[in-house]
Amino acid sequence: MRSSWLWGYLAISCVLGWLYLGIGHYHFAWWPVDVLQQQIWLEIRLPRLLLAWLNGCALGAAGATLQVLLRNPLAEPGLTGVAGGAAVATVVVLYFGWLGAVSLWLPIIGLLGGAASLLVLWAIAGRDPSGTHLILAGVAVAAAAGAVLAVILNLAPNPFAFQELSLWLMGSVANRGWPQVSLIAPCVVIGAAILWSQRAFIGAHIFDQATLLSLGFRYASSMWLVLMAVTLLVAGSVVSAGIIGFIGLIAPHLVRLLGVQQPARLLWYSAMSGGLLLVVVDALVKWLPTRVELHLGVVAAIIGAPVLILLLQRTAKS
Amino acid sequence: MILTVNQLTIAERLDIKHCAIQKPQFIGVIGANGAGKSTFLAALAGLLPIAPHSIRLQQHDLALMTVQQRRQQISYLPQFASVSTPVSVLQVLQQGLVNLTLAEQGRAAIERVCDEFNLVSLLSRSITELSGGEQRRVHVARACLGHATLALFDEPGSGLDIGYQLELMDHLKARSDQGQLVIAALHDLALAAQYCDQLMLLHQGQLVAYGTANEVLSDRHLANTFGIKATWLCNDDGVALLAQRLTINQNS
Repeated sequence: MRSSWLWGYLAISCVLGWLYLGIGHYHFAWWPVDVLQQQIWLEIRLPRLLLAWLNGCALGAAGATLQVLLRNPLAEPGLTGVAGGAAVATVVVLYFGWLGAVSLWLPIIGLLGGAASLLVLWAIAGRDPSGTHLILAGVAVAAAAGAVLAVILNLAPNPFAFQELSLWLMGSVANRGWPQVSLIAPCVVIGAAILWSQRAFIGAHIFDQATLLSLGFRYASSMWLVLMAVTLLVAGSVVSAGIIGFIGLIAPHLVRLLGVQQPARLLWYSAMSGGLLLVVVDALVKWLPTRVELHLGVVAAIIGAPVLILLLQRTAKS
Repeated sequence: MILTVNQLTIAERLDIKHCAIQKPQFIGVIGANGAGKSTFLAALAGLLPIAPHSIRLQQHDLALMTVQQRRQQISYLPQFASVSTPVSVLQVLQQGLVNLTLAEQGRAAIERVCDEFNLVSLLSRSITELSGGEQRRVHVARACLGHATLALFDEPGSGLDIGYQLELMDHLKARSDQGQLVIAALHDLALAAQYCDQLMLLHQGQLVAYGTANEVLSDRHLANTFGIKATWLCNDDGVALLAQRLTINQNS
């Protein structure tokens, strides 16, 4: 059962990856025919493919973990403001020239920003994170982060800074290369390793809080570790591609539709399907014949917002 | 001495001066709503911050026990145990083995509780599709997976049919006979009187009485704590009670 899923996933990923690499501005090619084409495939399209996939994995895993941990099916890095906090911190150090665009310190700065919004979120809604309270608090944090982002980019000494606002708010993997991949890759590896080490703790979240507390976990330290892993995943995603919304929400629900419910499995399946989903969305971005290339987050939101509305309706009913 | 409680104070909800239980038995904790039954059980389970030396389990101070020690020695079923993820009953029980060191195989433990609580036919079903009583049985079974020294059940029979309630009380009694100290918060005074070796009566966070059913369920205690007057109907098969509400004047 498990291995057949894995092989199926690998097969679909390879086919999609190949098609993705072939999509160009003017025409589609099955194989790079000359040196220039080869360079485009290896230096531009391959890193972009990997960046999209890694971002999707990070956001899918982060979204699934948040949903399980907070026992809230609507929790998601974007909606809870974690991504917003990470973006604000990153933008401050970037546009005031304190760090270079691909400094390896960036994910750590993003981590601090994301952790700060988690703290705010916890202060507002920590008592009952399963309710709509959390989402309301998260929306407030996300909106505040968006506004602060705009102010900072307006005030930044760089005259072109403000033009990049949409890039941060909507997210994009266009015009990036291997350096950005090297920013997110360590975050994904470390985050995944922490989540793997805490899989029993995450899995035990099928139980109510009182039962969970009696199951022999060091609750506070495990919770911290897992939340830090989630923030690290989100920070890696934000510093390499900006805030990409909805993937963290949709991927776990897609996996649930496939019948996977156990938290520990949900996590890995969400990461995998999130990666695939974002590659598909980015392929759409490249393939759609718009005059200016759409932002990745815009297309994700166009697909994701109706899903969110459906989910809200279903939770309101039950 | 298996369990000793000394000056256990939790906020303004619980204040128990002293209480000692010498050997494994079945103890019922009774009291009106808000008397502190659940708080007491949660404190015994180690879920609430307590002062050092206030609870001792065998030779260990509960406040100083590691989470791993607590996991092995104490099992706890909360009043509102629930699983909201639609996983199968088998998966719930498997997850219930987490951090538990068992002499037997995990599968053997699961088979044992499934036989004990008639869960075999439910194993592959999703827990969220079960009725409230069936879910309760799964949670009780989950709490019975290990071989804890101290087993705490907060209203284990809530939502169960009378047949299952009696069966459940039989199981709890059997566990106490096998050397487990079973402490259960109970609502049904007649069942408590019939099955428990000793009763603890809580009132406004204080331990008012501790002893056999005859001593604890006296007219004075029932009037003071529940505001009722009881007529007891007893025969060899069991106990029932006819309760009458007292007016405030008689109560005070």
